[in-house]
Amino acid sequence: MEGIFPYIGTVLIMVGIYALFALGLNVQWGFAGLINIGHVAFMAIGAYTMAILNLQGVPLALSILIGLALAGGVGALLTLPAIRLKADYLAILTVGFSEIVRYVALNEGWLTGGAQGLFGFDIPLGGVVPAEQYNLFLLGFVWVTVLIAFILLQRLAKSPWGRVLKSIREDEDVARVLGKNVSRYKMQAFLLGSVLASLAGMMLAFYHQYLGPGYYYPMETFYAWIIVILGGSANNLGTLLGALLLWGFLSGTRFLSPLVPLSAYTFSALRMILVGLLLIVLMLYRPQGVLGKKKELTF
Amino acid sequence: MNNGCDIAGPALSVQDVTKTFGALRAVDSCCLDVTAGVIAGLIGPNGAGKTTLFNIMSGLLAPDSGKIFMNGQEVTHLPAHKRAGLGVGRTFQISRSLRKLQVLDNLKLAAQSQLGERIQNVWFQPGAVRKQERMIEEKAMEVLRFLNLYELKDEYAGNLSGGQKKLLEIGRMLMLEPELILMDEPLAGVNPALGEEINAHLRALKGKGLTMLVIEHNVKHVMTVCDVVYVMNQGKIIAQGAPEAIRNDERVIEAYLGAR
Amino acid sequence: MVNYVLSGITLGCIIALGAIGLTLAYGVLRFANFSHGDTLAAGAYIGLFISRVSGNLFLGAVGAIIGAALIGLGLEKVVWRPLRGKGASPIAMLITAIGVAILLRHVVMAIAGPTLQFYDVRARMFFLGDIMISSVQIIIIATAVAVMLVFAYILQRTKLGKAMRATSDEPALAKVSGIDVNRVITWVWLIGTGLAGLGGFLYGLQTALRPDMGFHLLFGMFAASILGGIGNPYGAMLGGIIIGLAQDLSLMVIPSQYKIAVGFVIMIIVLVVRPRGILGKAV
Repeated sequence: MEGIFPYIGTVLIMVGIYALFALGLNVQWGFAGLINIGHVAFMAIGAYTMAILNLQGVPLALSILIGLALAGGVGALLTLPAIRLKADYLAILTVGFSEIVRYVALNEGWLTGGAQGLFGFDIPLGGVVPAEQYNLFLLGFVWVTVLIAFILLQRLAKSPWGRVLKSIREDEDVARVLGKNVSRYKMQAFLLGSVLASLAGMMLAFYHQYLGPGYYYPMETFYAWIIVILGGSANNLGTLLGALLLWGFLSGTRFLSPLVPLSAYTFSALRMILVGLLLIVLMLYRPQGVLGKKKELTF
Repeated sequence: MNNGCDIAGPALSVQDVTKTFGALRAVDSCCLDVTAGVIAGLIGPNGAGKTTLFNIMSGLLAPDSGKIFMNGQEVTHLPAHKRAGLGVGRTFQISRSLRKLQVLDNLKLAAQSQLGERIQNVWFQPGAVRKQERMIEEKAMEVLRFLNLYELKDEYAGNLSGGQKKLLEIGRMLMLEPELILMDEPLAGVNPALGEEINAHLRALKGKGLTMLVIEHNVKHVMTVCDVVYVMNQGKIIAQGAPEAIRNDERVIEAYLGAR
Repeated sequence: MVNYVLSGITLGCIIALGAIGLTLAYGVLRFANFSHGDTLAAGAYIGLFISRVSGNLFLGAVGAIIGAALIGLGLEKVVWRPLRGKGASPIAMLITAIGVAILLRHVVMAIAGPTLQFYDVRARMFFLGDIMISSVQIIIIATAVAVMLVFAYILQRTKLGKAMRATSDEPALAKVSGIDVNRVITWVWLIGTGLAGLGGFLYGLQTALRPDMGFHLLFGMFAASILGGIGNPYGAMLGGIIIGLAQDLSLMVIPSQYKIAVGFVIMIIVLVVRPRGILGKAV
């Protein structure tokens, strides 16, 4: 029994990281209706920036801040073409962008460590918290961050800002003739989402004490999408729930793997088949997810 | 009867505006001047280009050439959302109430200069935001009471009847407090009783000093409410003047008959 | 350089075959099908299996085409049509397609296993002066061109083809003028995914199959469709060849790992400068 609790702890850390990641996507999709299928790019941008700077000697706190700022900046820049493009084109553009980021990370070894990735960067309070307790500390660190993000986002959701975004999602022209600068709101939403994604990326790096291009496949973005839709688009609490459910499923089934008479590879493929099926079934029969409201659906 | 192309100080001045879509000249060198404080009507057969002209005037569409002035200021290339700040309101032909927002929220949205629409205020000045929200909500409820929609305030706008949605559009204008309103068929699809009510609202708005340009198909309403009428056909303004004069104008009659 | 041209055209033919289905789905259904790449991959694997079992490559090709077409048809009946029936928006379809992509890819993984798979092909090399051509390239280009010509014939001369073009250009009008839109849609899927399956098979003739190959090719296919004018199958064919050529010719100037970025860059330029692409109608 002793082994279970630390394991649950690590699962919860991952739930928290994905919750943060998906909360960022929820701002972009749920609030602003932007189709971002390249969300993982910002995880990469944040984590790599932090690690590269820190490995060059920049203090960790500053590295983190610069990483967040860079991710936000790139996100804001990406909205310039984004707001002009139709949703499907934006989807292709964003996923192409995230793949290019991954390619750069993979190939520009002089900057990013290439396929081997980066390690040896500082972790928050790394010198202070003893190694055996570190995961516990990180669990708290991640979840406090998630909580703060959640509260801030909830405030936004219920605020006039949130109201404007709801109107933009439904009918941009009406928002415009009522005096709302639609492009600026979309940019803000995208920026916010990118910053959250980059924060999640950094947390992931702190957890593994390593980062590499293999962490930034499009599948990660797909996970975020499934989490957001499962929980209920535009519903922050739903996003947290979705993260718990999805990651709970993925971790829980990993537990089962040795008990099942299939190779690990096949079993893991089977799990993913269920994940794909989950998304399909959700979209067909319950697009509003667990906590979403059907009448507020904007699909 | 002048040509309408004066560079005066009217509330709204449209000068030589043209818009082409491929082979179609939707708006053809249009000139329009609406003096402050009047209700002007814009009539014409279907497909004459009225809504396109409206889209250009409200900034949702850019003209190929020509200029637009509002209260003396050139707004031709001003983005739509900035025109609201100048005091321009716009309603839509098929009412575009935000169906997934509640009625009260629909109205609150229209208030201008909301502190709470800025992220930093939401997070760092919650008290000020709350205070302003309360004021906006009070005003919105007043407007709802005035329009007899108060009981529906928490209803999703998508559940309203057609006539109620039209009233909602007017309600948004009341919240916006514009000086100039572009109204695209405010009476379309509305029963006669409600139509009278809406007309009364329009007259009341005029009484407050607002200027209105109204697209309308219902000739009777146009005659009773409008001070001056413009007639548009195939993208051009073919006639303008007082309602009775227009009603008897041969070109106008021909335009409507020809369009059938 | 000529070798790059050749390999580029070969790749371009494969992309073109896939892009046709993608652009048709967009034109007729207004749907950006993110699962098209994985359908292509599934077809490739089915073709592999059949060619191994039967010992005959030609049968493998037929298997790839039919297999992919059946997948496309099955998805239409089980997923796309019900979704459309519920009034799902194109975005909802896009997101669902991602789910389908995940599903398809992992079914392939579960069945085929993790190792790379190869078709049993022995390429013969020919030399024309300095130019080296492999028999595989000849087969790919010849097959693709022949199939595209047949498809063009269908589009231009048959009732079905005309119905497809009409539905893509003016869906409301098509319905009103008596075209059985559901039948057109069925054929769009059969032909579109069938061609993709063929493309996957041809791809497999010269490259090892991996379960994630679909996603990689998907970029090229989207780029080709957008470049050629989304909704226009001729545009997809043209765009495919251009993208393939550009990707391989770019190897002369940039490191090979960034080959995929070329398609992406072209796509961005098109979206910014001329969103309707080469043959598309004005948006």
